Amino acid sequence: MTIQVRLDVMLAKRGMKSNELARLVGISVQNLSILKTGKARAVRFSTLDAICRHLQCAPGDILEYVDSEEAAVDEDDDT
Amino acid sequence: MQESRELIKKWSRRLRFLLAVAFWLIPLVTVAYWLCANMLPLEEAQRALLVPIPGDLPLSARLMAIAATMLPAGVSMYGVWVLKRLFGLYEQGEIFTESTVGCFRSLARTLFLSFGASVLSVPLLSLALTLHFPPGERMVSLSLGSPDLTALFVGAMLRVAAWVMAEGHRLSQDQELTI
Repeated sequence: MTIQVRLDVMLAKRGMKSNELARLVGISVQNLSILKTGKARAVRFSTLDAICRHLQCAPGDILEYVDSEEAAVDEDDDT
Repeated sequence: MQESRELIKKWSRRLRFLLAVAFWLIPLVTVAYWLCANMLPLEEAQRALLVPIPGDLPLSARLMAIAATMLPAGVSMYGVWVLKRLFGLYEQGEIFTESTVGCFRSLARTLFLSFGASVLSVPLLSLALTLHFPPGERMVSLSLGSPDLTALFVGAMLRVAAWVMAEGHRLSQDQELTI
């Protein structure tokens, strides 16, 4: 997957716990965990809107595009 | 919704039990039929196979008939086993999963196999029942009837239904994983 979810980073920056965000957004902790671990296939605009509102951030702070080929090359260079 | 799920589970349990009985009855009835063939009217078999069965069948003929009949019976047993597995999955609440889609695929395969087994078993059975006749009177018959073609047609329909179910499973997973 080339879209990486950086929700845990944003949660740490805001000092907010997952279950608190899940409650504020109105989704289950399990669904938030699916989102955090990158297992989600799609994110509703309404969910994204609620997350951004409660974390005081933009969608780009949570979602990041990572070119899988570039990422693989970078990893090879590091080793 | 919960009520219909419970209904599916209840009926699946009953059907699974019936299928478990049928699974063992198929070979038992097949073997018993040919072992007791001399005590039973064989007009139906004569009509279906287009071979004359004038008197009592010797044991060797009956044993060969069992072997020939076990071909379609084996396919039926496989079909019943797949159905038993499918209802077992329904009983556990698995309705649109990869396993149930796999069962539908296997059922389609069973029907294709049953077509082949039916076409093959008729010449084998006719040969088994006339092999004890004097040379020149032994017969091999071939038969292709509408039930065979129906099995092929239903098998093709089930295969398409399995594709549709696989797509349904993908859509249901998409929905589950949309946050």
